[in-house]
Amino acid sequence: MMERKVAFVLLFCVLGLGLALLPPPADAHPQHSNTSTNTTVCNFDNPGWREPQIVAGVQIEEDRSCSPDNPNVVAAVTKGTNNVPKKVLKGTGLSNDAVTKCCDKDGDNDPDVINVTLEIVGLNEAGEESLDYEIAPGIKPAFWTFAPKTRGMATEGSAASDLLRMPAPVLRVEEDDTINLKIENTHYLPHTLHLHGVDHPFLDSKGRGNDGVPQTSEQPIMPGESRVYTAKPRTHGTMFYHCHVQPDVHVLMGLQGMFVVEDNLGDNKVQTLNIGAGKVRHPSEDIKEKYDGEFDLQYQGVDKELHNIPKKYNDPRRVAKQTNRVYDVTERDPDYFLLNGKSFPYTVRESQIIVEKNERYRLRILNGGSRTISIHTHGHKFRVEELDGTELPEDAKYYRDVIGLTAAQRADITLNTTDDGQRSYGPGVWFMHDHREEGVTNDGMSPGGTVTMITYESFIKKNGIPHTPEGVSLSKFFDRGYYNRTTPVWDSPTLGEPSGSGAPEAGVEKSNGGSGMLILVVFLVTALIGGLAGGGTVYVINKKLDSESLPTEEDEE
Amino acid sequence: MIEKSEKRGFILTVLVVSLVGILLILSPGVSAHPLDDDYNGSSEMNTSENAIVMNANSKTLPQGCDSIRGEKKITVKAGKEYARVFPGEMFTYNNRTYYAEPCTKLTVEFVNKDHVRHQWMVHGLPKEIYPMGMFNIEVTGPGKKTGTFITPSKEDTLLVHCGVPQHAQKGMRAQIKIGKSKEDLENIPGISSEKQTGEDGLGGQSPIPDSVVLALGFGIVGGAMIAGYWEMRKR
Repeated sequence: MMERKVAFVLLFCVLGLGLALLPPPADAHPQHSNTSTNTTVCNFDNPGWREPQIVAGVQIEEDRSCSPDNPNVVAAVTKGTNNVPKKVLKGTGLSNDAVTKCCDKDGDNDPDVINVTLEIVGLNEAGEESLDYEIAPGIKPAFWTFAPKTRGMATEGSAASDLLRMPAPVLRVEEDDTINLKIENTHYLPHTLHLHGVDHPFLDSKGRGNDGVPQTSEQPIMPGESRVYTAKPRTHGTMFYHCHVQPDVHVLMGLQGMFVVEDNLGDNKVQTLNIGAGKVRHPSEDIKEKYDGEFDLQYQGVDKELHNIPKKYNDPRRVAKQTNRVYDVTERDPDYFLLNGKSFPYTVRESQIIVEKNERYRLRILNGGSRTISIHTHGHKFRVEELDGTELPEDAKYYRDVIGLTAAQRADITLNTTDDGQRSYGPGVWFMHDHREEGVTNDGMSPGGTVTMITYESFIKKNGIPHTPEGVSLSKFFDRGYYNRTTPVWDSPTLGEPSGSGAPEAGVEKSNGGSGMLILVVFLVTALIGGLAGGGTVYVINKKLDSESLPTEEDEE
Repeated sequence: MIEKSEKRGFILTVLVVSLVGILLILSPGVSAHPLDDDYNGSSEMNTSENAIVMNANSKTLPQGCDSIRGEKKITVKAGKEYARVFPGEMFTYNNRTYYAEPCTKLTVEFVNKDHVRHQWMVHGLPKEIYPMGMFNIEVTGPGKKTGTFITPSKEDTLLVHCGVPQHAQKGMRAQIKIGKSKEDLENIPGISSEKQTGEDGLGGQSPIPDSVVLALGFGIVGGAMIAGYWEMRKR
């Protein structure tokens, strides 16, 4: 019948309209871009930074990495931003009060009052012109972290933007120094600072909370507010600092860093910030005496479900609700794994341990993540010296090649490059990585995660990239397509992309198709239910109206 | 023949049911009541003279200006207190549209009421005299700093924002209207809206509950209309 046909047409029109307005199906990897990019392994504009040099009287060690730290920054944070020439400070992007030092209280010819100002920044958050930060090609989860206070513009390419990154800077002072850590909360959520393992009083000299815990110590620092935390540590070692507001969210979002208290020696101007962790280019007097180099290594995992929230929502109230009340950390499932704020292959540019034969290196390791890590060094057995910032007795120190650290634990190890079959098997490019297999992937795509290398001098190229054997190249990992799963792992006719239907393999495009289908089905079913409800209501009501006022021949007359 | 009253009652039913459906469709866009901030955080004195002006200019004339045509002084205040009236924002300026004639020596007193860094940064100035086309006053509050620059000759609306990460995204955007420029820039609190379709319309994964509600809404409207049409034809 006509009516029925027309009704069906109407039904399909409504469904069509609904489908047209339906938001696009979920992208399982929202951070990945599909475009292939420059696959240059090392793309660094300042090769002069790699040289050993003296800036403002501060000795800066050589760093043969692809992307070493800016010597001007190292000098400014060692001498103090208040003590270096304006010319040196200007190029760093640091503000005047980022690290100020003064007052030799114990007469050993170095400053003993250290004032550090940290701001709180969001990376890859919502909105245009949000600060861009890649952990691996095409992968940009949002992060919240502490950053040295900067000045001026923080846009791409500015000096300040180099300082705004993961992880939070490694803080370094001497034992018995007075450290005043000012937190200026430039972020849009409340935060605090908790010193973990660093000797500090529960209340400061004015009787105010100094432990950073909202439930027992103090109110959180609201956006736009600032607070000073103070410590005068009586013991030295590798410690930790982190936000303690909703720590299940904030610590894992990146508000965490290493805090190293060095031995108190004379003439010991310490590199107070090691931005981006990694090699310490101005080691302390104590380290210089005992070692030939020092590296700070910070590990953590990233659950993209959590880190997607500040990318997606701009309203601080929604970010608060989604992170605090909707996201469930007990169902946490990390997808990315960071070493010094990056995943392989970017770790190759920044976090290689570049060594020479017959030397000793101090490695300080922090597990800032929620899962245990099992750090393994190819080609070497290292000696465990300190655990959680406490030195082991001499006879308790031991050699091993995998060290397990659970959340918040630290280990200081000595890497000795003497070729004796135990401490070292000789020169090479030796992988160093978390031996938990998920820890060496980027969202399940291998190789990735915290992979780095212990690379001997004879194996490192001028641009800081290790020599690889004939036919082996790292450049394919710098192509976004690799981690986007669009390029096969092996490029050969027998093992490359399967030919045939052209449809994606089940499991390759994982949840992409899956969640889109689910949403479509849910939509259709709900639309049908809605239709029946709406239509049914109209039908029933009209039936009622009919029965109440039936027109009769008599009424109309 | 259908009775008039019957017809009316019938149309009313369809409309009411459709209204329910439409409300469901629109509901995902409704935001919650604004939270009350608790300002109990302790504050520290601003100990440093941390205030800078970048690209100050009171002498060099922009192209198209043969002389300084006038002088003007404005005071701008910034901080979280001004964002309380804008749900979903965190920091902003007390006033977000400024007016100046072309070729005017504009002196800005920038007052920062917060205890963190804020900027009043103008963009789109002539790059020949303002590096990167920018003029910036930056103050770590509480404190203030005054800076002067000369406005360009072209009548235009220039963007002003704070460059501290996420401050512009959370409300610190403003505009200077040079001359008779009528254009409003987007996403200025209290003046213009965000470019994207909705607060959460940033693309990417859509939460299922919103889609379900939309589907239900459309279904109800569609079903009501179809049933209504069917009924009409039956008579």
